[in-house]
Amino acid sequence: MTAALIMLIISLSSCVITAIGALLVRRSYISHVLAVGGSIISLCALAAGWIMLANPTLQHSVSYLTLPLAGHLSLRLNRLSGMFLIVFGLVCLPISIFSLRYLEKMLKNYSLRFYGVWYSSLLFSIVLILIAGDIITFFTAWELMSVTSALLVAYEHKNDKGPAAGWLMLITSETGALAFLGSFILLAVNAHTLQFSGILAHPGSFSPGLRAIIFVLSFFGFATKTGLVPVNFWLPRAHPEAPGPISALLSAFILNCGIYGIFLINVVLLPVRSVWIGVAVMTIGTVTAILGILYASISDDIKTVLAHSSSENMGLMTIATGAGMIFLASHAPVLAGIGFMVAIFQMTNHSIYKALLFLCAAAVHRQTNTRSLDKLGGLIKAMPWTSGTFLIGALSISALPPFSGFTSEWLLIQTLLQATTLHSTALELACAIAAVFVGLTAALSITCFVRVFSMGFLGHPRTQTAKNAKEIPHSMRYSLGLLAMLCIGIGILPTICIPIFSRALSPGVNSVAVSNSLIPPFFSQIGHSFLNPNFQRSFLNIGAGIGQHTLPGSSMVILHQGGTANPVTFATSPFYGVFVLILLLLLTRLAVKIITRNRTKLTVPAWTGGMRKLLPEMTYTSTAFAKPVNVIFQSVIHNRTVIEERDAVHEHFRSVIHRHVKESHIIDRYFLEPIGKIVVSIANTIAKLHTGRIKHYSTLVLFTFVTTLIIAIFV
Amino acid sequence: MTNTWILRGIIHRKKTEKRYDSDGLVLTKGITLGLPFVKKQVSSENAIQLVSICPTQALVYENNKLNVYPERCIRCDRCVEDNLSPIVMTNDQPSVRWSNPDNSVLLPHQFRRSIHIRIVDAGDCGGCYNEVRQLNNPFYNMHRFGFFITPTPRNADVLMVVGSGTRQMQYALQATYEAMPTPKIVIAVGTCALSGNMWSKSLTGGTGIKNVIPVDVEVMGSPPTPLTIIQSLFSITGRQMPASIISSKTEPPEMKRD
Ligand code: SF4
Repeated sequence: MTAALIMLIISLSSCVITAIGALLVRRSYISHVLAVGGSIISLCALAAGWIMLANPTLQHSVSYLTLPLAGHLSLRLNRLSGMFLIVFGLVCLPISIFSLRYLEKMLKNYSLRFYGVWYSSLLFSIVLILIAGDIITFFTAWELMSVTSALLVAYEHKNDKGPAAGWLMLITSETGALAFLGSFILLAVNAHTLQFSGILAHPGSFSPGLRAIIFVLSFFGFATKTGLVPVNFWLPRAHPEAPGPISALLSAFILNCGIYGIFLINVVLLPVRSVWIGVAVMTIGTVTAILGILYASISDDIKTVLAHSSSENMGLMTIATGAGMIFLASHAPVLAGIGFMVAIFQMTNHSIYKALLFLCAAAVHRQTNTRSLDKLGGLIKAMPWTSGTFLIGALSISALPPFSGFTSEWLLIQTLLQATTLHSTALELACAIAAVFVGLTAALSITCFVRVFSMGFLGHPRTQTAKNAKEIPHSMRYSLGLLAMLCIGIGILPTICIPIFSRALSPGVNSVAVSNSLIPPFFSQIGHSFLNPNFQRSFLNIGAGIGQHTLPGSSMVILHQGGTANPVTFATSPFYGVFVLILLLLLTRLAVKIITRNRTKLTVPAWTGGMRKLLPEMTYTSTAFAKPVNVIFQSVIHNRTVIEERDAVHEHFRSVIHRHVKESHIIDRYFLEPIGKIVVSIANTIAKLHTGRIKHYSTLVLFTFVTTLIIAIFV
Repeated sequence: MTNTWILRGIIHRKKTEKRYDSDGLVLTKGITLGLPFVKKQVSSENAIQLVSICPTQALVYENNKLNVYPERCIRCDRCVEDNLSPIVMTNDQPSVRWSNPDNSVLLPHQFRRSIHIRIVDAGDCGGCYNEVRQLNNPFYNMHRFGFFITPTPRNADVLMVVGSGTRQMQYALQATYEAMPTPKIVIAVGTCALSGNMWSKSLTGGTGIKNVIPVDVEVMGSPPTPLTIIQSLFSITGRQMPASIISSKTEPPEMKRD
């Protein structure tokens, strides 16, 4: 444990050193300082996280400061924070390497000094949030994170949208922070301590009503950061405007902080006891997922697509968390563990592939100066490295085997379908509906990323800048390659990752039971306690045990176990699947070759509809590709209102028709705009007091004085 | 709803046309005038007089003989207006003919039951294209024979061209032909596609599509009837080889330009 602490202290102090370094060194070296500092921070966080996750010691609190009124302030090292630190390290390392050369572009217009300070403070605050052991540390770190991330989003202040997005992000973030501060205060007041470990030790002192209030406040508070419906309106506005590495960090990790908060309060500190809270969480997750992917499928800006898709992935995680809560409340601890494990699995996957995709988008933006898919195209020839890694990221996010998103989404659907064991029709129905929507989301995300990849990277370049794009420098390529390798690695070897992920939530969840129930011990002995030996033998007969002497882990198969009648409900093996996939591809190739061996092959120019020359602008654009989704889900999206203004001469002879297209998000229409209207009407009502006459104001002053006196006397 | 032909079909039992009369001839009687036929030879003055009134040089006086080339005729009826004229319009003449005398026009047996047709309008007046459009309607209903229209030449086995192959369309026609997979058949429909009709005298009108792409089947008439066009499709699939198809032809003399 001390090793982890030392690593964390190195990590935190290198944040401070990086910030000071960014202030002191010559301008052209700031990016180097940030890259080296960021790498050290993330490597130390990775090491600390690994030690914490692997350590059997479950809880460890270190108090570092004693305040006069609040008592000890402490750091709390446990497995959950270890898991998040690992993800942070995995994501932050490539981002730091990437930003080394990326920042050169910004150096022309902006001084990077304060970028460096904000960036290292952001990393500092993230690490501190993850290891905070008491409410004050957590909240301070959270505020630091909110402010610095908003400042970083607004860093490119010479375009108008950046500062506006930063403000919006700050406002929502602060609202959320206030909400969960309320829940923290309720927790602290009822447990009489500010320490998380202290709250954990007094679980009995909360009535169901209080629990519900704490849940609502904390969930709403963290949902603003996570980007769940209906408080995700800031997400697609802020993420695209941030500088490349920052939007990657925002999407890939800072959204996870919200998930961390939800886990901390609703799973670790105050485990959910009501099924309906789980159903509510699952519903919110479902709506978020489906809305996120719908808007992702129709957006034109590549970074907006990615931001909406982040929202979708957060929705999937929330569905998994909700399912876990349902199982937890219905006393099915193993299934609950699987649910939470899937949430963490999905989170890790999302962090990695979303960092990859955002960095690719940043690379494209750096080389072509545009993010509009309609203006890109044909980048695969100019930027093969970026395109290749983007393809891997897109395949992962589309949940296609053997890439990383597949196993988590598959497990998510399977876990939802396990609700049949709960013997409650309402819950079964809720979970089944959620599973259907997860399926729809997965299908739509394939559509979405086929569109992004084909329109952005394949075909003809649609503009001159896209045509003249050059490949990114080496250091950026390596960081993309690192993330792409992680995508493939997790995708092929989920059986090795699942035990690690399932460990994150122990002791609340029995990690051994979770990993054992998913990964049958084919590689160990036959006749294990929870698998029928005959049954296991029949699996081994079809080759489930291939490689049992060379491969690590307990098997390469993931399966969901049913009752005694049908021991296995579903099974998959991405590892063996890779070989089958390669074999199938080769066989198909061979079959095609054999079938077509006698055919004459004609090579003629592409059919262009009889045009003499196919201009790039004439090719299929991303807007056109998104049209079917737009039409099918018109009733949900309904995103544009067209306002026509007709100018006429002498009121009769029409001269001009102006068309204004107003686009609005469904959340804006049904959540943000009504709130805005209410606020404005309240303000208008209050403004009636301002008559501008001195006698009215003096009456008001008198009235206030009297009221205050009355309150002072009676209270 | 204007498109109530299914209902009408159910009420009236049947709407599609018969393709042959009892003699096995294509049903064109009463629909078109037919093609001109030289009944008897006349003196040279009369012949030259007749040649001069033919607007498309379908009548040619060569080797002291009055010849008629039906692929150039537009059935304007000028030459048969006079009762004493040696030329009559007759429906007995074949309207479909293969450009190559041998069987190379026949598609392989795999295409017997189904072919896909790409239609290109290479600058027609709308007449021939209108007839081609009738192929899909309930009266002619080409689908029942397995003939389908496809929007892309990549899937097409047959290229059906109407119009004289104007200069603007020559590239597109060529590109379409090249984009088609082999085996491919080109059907030229109408006098314009065969010889350029009256426009062949102009600079941009085009002198028939055979100057652009090789033509395999010629469908005569200006415009030909839909049944004749279906006839041509039948002939290339080898499903029916009616007597009305002759496989030998003589090239007409070159068009005289003013
Ligand atoms: S009908 Fe008209 S076009 Fe045909 S041969 Fe007679 S004159 Fe010529």
